[in-house]
Amino acid sequence: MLLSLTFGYSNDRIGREYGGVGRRGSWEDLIPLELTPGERIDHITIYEGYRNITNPYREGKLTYIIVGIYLKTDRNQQTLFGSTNGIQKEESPNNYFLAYVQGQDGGHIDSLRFTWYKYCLKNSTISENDNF
Amino acid sequence: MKRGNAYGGPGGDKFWDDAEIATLTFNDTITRVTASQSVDLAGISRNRFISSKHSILLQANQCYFL
Repeated sequence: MLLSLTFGYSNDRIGREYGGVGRRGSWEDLIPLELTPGERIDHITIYEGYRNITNPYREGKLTYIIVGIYLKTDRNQQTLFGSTNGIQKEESPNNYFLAYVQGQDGGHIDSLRFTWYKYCLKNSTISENDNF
Repeated sequence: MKRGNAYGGPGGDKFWDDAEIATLTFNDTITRVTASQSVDLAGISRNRFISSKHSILLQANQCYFL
């Protein structure tokens, strides 16, 4: 299942590693998703579920976390990180691409939330109130 | 801009840093995603996992001696 996640941005900034604190047991680094210039992530599938992870706030109880994430780009690169064994939820707003990701984490990825920007033609305007 | 739903659970003692997001401009995009994964014991408690492994070892031993 998904243990940690890191996003790199075009301003050469690499975000911190989310999750993966105090890696225990067997784990592996996965082949990264490398986007080519101009390529954008336009489809995300999340897999979430209860797992028996080390959690000092829920001793002896299962914790609801993100167990896997599938990413697809507008050039049809596809990557699955982690497990598909969970409740599947998709986000793929038409004509939008993934701008950045926020969430909460500890030893694993507890929650995720995505912010999308709209594809715009040159010289078109962006509406600030263009929310869900 | 669209802000999507929140997925996952309420746990996690670290919120992702807004200051990190604040460094981004509208022209910046995601260029690389890296991840790590561990074995998915999907809902199997550690005790049950250990005992089933133990049981397999016992069966293996029995086969060996037969």
